Amino acid sequence: MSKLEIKGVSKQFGAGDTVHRVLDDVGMRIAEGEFVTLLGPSGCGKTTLLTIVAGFQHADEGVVLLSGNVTDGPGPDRGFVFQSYALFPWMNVRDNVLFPMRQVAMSAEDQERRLAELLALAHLSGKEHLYPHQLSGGMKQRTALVRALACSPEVLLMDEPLGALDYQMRMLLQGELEAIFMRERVTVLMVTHDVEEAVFLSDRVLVMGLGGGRIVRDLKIDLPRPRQRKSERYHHYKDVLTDALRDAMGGAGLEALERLEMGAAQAELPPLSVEEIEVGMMGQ
Amino acid sequence: MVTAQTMMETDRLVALIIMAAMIGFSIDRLLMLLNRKLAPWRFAS
Amino acid sequence: MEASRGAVRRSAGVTPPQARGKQANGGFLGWVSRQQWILSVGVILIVWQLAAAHYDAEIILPYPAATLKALAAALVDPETLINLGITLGRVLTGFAYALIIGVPLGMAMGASKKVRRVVSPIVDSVRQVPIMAWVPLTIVWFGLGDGPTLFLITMVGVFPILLSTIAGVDNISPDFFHAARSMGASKGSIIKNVVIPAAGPDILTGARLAMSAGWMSVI
Repeated sequence: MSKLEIKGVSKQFGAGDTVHRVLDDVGMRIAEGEFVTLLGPSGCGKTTLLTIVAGFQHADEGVVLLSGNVTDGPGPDRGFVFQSYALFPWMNVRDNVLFPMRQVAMSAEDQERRLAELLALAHLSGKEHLYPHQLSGGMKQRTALVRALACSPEVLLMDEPLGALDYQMRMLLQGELEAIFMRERVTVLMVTHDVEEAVFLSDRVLVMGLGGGRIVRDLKIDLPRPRQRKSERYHHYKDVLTDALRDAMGGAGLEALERLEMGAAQAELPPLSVEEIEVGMMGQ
Repeated sequence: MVTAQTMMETDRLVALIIMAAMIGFSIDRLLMLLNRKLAPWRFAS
Repeated sequence: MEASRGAVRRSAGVTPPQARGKQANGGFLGWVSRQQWILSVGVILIVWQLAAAHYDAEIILPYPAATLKALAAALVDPETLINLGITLGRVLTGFAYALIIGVPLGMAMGASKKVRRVVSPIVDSVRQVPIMAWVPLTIVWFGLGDGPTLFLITMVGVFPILLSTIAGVDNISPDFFHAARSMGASKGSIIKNVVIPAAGPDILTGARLAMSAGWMSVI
């Protein structure tokens, strides 16, 4: 049985004439321990799919199965790393990383032990008293990552985790991420538009196309870890994916692509949880 | 203050106005400093 | 000393890097240096003196010297200080009421569009009523004494707090809620660990405005 299975997921935004079918009967199976990347141009629905798996949005049709069970809404079984990190600025690194552990009522000793483990993994030991605004981009990224891993989720979901960093940082952090994943064996589903990142980190890359998020290519990356950026096969994979990415744009010109980007921007994520947060005092 | 006004002691009146303003100003500043102390991440850049 | 060196360079038109960050929001005197404060006060005193000399009538404009003498006297006068204390007490009480009403209501309105839609029209209409119009009504309700004053202070304070709280809650990035929920946080935990700290600074800004308004309404 696959760890994560997505079946027949469809999602559309807008109504009437301006309906935009972002995902059209999308499905995939991810095995335990696999690192799968969703690669595609902006507007292909990869982030939408990720948020549906995370439970931040509901699919119009279709279902997401985690270890055979249907998922409904967010939960600690699926960790999430946001592009913007979403580190709580009023908490220091320590409190941020401990937060998920507190929510699931982990024992105090387990919390401390896990915290030390995670800090060491992310090369952040000794920095746990710092606040997010005092951290560099790379440090914030690593903090967000270990926070998502804190409760050993069944699946880790990452939304363009290195998107906010400059080129040098990205290269460096890809290496760090690889090291972390080699230690913490976890099933990962990552979204990115960066081919290099996809080849460097993943076991398998699914290229999604515009117009429904159709999977145009399912490529297995058969390279040993740690990955060597300079090997010939590495470059070959990169070339294959770059071509696939171009095809995924469906020969769309710049104009069409821009139109789709605008559509993606307008299809704002509905803030589910905000609606549900009714202050207790309302009832009193 | 009302007494000062009725007795036309304008110097006292203005003095009290200044005093009131100073207190108001201090309260405002204190709250601002409190805000900065409690939420440093908002004011850092 | 760092500060004076900075002040000197600032008056020459150059802001030193450290001071730029600090003075931008900072210190008791705000983003103005001590030098500039003294300069402004000095100018005001000079203009004041000239104006008073021009009118030369105690009733219209007292001389700065006389005023400053009265100020010094008032600062140590027990009766004045007690009165000020009582006034401050009233303002703080009214402020407390404004907080108790404004913050929970603001959080409810910020969090739920339904609540906002229902309550907003009421709030906006009441907000438009000129404060003085409340006076006769409050005298009828609370009688003469502290009641009307307290009502007034609360009234001017509640709206800044309410509006700032709504804005504060509204401006919380949805990512924080998504993150908290995906980490298994309960509603209570979210309110305590996300909503309050995230909206806190904005609420505090509202509190500042409320306090100012309250103080000014009774002087």
